[in-house]
Amino acid sequence: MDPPIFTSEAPSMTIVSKQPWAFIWFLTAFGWLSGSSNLVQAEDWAQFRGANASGVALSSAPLPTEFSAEQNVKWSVTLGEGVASPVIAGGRVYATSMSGPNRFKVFAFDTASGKPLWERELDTGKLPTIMPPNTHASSTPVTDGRNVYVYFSTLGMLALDAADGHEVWRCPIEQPFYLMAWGAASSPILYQDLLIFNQDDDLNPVLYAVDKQTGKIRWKTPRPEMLAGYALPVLCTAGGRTDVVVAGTGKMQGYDPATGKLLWTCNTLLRTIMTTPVVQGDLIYISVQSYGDADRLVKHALLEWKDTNQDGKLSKQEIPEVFWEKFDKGDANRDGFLVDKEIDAAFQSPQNMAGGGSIIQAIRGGGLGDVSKSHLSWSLENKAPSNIASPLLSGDKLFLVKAGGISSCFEATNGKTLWTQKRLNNLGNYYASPVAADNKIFVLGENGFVVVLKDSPTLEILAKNDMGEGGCVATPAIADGRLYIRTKEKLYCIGN
Amino acid sequence: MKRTWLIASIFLSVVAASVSSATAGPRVEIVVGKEAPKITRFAATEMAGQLKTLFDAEVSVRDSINSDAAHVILLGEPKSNPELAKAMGDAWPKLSDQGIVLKSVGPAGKRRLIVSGGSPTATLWAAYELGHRYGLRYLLSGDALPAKPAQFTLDHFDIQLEPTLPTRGWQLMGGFPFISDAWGLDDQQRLVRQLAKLKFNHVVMKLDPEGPFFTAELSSQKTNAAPMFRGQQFTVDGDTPGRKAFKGAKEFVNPDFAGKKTAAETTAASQRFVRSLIDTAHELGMTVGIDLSNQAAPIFGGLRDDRRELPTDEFVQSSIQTCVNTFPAVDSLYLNHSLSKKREFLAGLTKVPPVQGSMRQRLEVVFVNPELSREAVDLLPSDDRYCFCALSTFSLANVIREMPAPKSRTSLTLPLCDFKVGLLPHQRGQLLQKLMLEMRMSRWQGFQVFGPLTGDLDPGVQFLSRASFDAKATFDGVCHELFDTLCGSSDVTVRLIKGFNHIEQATEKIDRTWQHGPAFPDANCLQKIGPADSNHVAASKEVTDLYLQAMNEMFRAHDNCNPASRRYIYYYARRYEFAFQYMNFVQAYYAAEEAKTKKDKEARLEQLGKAVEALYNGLNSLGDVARDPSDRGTIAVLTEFAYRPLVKQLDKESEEAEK
Repeated sequence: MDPPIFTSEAPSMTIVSKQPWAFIWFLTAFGWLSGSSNLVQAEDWAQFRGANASGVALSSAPLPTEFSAEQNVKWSVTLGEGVASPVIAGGRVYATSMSGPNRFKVFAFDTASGKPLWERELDTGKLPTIMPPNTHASSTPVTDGRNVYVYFSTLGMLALDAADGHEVWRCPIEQPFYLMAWGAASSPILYQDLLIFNQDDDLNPVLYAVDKQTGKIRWKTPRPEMLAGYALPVLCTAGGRTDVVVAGTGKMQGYDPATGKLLWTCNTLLRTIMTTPVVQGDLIYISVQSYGDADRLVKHALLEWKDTNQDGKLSKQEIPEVFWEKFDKGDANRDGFLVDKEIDAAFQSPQNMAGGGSIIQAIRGGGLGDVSKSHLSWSLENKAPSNIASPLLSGDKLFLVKAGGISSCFEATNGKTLWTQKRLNNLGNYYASPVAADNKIFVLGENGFVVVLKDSPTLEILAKNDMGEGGCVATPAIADGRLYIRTKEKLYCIGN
Repeated sequence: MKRTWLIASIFLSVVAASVSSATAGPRVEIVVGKEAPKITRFAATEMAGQLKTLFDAEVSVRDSINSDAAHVILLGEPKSNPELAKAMGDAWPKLSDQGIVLKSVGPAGKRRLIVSGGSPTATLWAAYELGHRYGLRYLLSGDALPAKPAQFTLDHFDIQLEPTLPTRGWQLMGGFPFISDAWGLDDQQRLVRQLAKLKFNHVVMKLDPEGPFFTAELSSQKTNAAPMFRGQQFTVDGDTPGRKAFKGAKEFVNPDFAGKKTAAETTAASQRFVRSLIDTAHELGMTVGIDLSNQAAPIFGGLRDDRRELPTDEFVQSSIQTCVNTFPAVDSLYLNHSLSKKREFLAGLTKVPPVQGSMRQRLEVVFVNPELSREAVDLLPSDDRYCFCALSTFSLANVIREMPAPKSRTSLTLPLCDFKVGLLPHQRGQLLQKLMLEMRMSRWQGFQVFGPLTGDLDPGVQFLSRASFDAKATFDGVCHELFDTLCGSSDVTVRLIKGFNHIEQATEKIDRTWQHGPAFPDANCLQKIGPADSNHVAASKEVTDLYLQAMNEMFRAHDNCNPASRRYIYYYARRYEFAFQYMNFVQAYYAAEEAKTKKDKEARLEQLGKAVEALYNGLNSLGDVARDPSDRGTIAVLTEFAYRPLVKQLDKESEEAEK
């Protein structure tokens, strides 16, 4: 039996998974969790997809296999529209919603009873167009147990007191703009005393570090080569150095968390990155599907959708005014139109002409400079990846699910296929990323069904659970033997 | 008092009470005259509501002019509104009972706007026409505001409109779950109110004699316990694609019939339902017919193919009698000409109790001929009223052109949706333009729209409405009038028209290629997709591409549209996405059939899997934007008749393959 390696304030929260990979991972996570005045405990789920965005719960507390909107529900509350994940720390669960056309709300509930502890409503001001199923309440908060840190596109970053929801500070962040009106959906993470926030939009992509005590921007690093994307930053410790790793257009990049300095780049990714990598040891795994083939640059999408009169060129009137400066930059002959290569020149960096495709990669962290050849551990061109749902690394298994409920699984060490393109018997879209706990994998379909799989090298479906027709877009959270599912309107706490 | 008038009275009180409250908009008096009929007072409340919405106007409705009023609208007809008669003086134009006039009169500073019609109903249309001129657009789902509000003015109006086609009807009901049978009374009444705003003047309810609308004494052939949808149930469960559209309901039913356990309860509910609808239409100045010719429904493909036997004359006669007894307020009856001769109808009426005698004097009978043909027209007596249907919509223009001049009061059923295209999106705008021209030239009385899938119909119905009063109206022009106003850009409308034209091409391709159609709404839906021959396969690819192009055009339009109207355009985009995915299903289905022929089991299973997934995705797309019971009915019917059988087939063959 493995000894408990972390003793929290709560005696029951002491057990870590028996699997050795989890032990290794936990050592990494421990540093991340204990770097500052965090009240977050091992059983908590303090950010999007839990510790280091892994999607894997550290606890081995049992979770029900079968449940529904009525069965094994400890409690449920109605939140209103939103797609952000709940986060949990210190016996509180935090969630968000749009409470009205221009009203954003943050909630805190007691994890044991679901009792509302506080809620804070904010006026968002005028909001841009957003493409469903995204909603304006899409950024997942992060918490250290003292404060809950919330990002909203028109408000910037806010720290709310975890105890009562009062606003501790507010840090303005430049509002993002998206050529395709996808809308904001980036989420912050915590590292030591920093709030790290990556905002890859189509206008001015920037990686931010905000002092979590004061709300002052400690550093910000422009990412001018990026197009709109939604990968969450993750932490990778290799060779005694912890990097902030961000996946973006064409590139996986590592940054020094103290300064924001770019340390390394791996130029092997695709054009549009919406998935978040997962880390095990010094390896960073990512799966990406970006529409089209390698030649499909941003120009193709813009001519397809933004060239509204279909004359084969873009005029200023066909794109939002905030992009006109970029437009002028690309309009080489100054004829008032962007044609052919002018379109890419305006919106996609000439140094980063990544195209479409479908890949799975393992990249070793800890490098310096261009690591494209030196640190690419393995790479597959494979149809398994989703464009939205992130991979799940559980033990030595890299599990993927994509639209249609099509699942695949690979050995993490070498990319060898364990199973490929097998159906979960639940059709439709998959926006939520899978999560794992209690030797089970929970896969949420947009249609409101949660497919429960055995966490094993062969596909074994244990249950298909109906959470109602509202549908699931948000990635669930797991803490202390409870599964938290945020449907379109409600938050369910599921437990035995 | 009837509900509309009650609402009108309440609204009037609110408006009157608001006189003293401060608003940013103009102060407007609507003067209707002391003797104004109810419908004119209703027109006044409608107008007041519109002016308030559009201009934040402070509106009062009065019987006479207040001397210090800044803006005065004189509403009504000269005989009931002396102020209007006085203001117009000798300049009163010659108007038919359907003619309308909007005219600015009087010197500057004392300008008055005359809003009038040749009858109280026409006055109501004139009021709605004013709203239209100010930028309001009357969609079938409700009113839409202009992207750029017009400036309030009572000047420069000099409009006189007369209908080019005096009968403008709309068919409700019909026995199918994706038709308005599934619509609750509130939804139906809202639709009828929108139709009145579009100057439709007739509603026909196709009541299935085998449905729940009549009591069991009808005849010995009446044996069922008054089921809706002829007893077919449409359950909604976890595996129903697009289930969110049903908002938790376990079965797709008309909400006004939900929970009715006995035949008597269902019948009572359905009769209340029909009577309420008749009342609503009458309050809006519309006439109402009941169509009993639905005995012919199985000919067009009913829900069940085993009901092809034709009813007896006795059944038809008792249908008439029961209908007249049950719904005495009805204005006309529609009977299938081939099944029920005039003398039989009259014989039926003689059995009606004496209390109905006065009704007999005004009750019109319209003979429905299900097949439009030169022979039929030649054979028909000239003193009756007729309504023609057609099996093939796309041949209508040619047929009308070749027909002799129709009998004096003959209208044409315009199937804006038909069973061949089934539950897929339709458009017929360019065809309608030709038909309207031919109908006017051939002196047809008018039309009745058969349009169950209302989600597609705004452009076509808008065209019919405008072209019925404007012989020069074109489909493209009307689209610009509609969408430029809503979306704020003519460029957006250009994309929309292109998209609609793609849909019209798809509609025509389906009509010409399939015997039954790829989305035929009955239990044999899958079989009716037809054999996987080269003709069907090629056509399915072409139609898929047309739906895809249409979807892309909608998304392009969406991005450049005024934000307030984007949701409306988004509906089209996702609806066409449904069609695109549905045709992907059809293609995969053909590929699966081909694999079966080649005895390639692996390919067969793969293609069946693709077919299931494409169908699921398509219905999910529609479920995301479903806005009326016809959308939900489409999902329910295709789930029951296509998705579930297909999943069953896949499961069965997968199981066999594993063995």
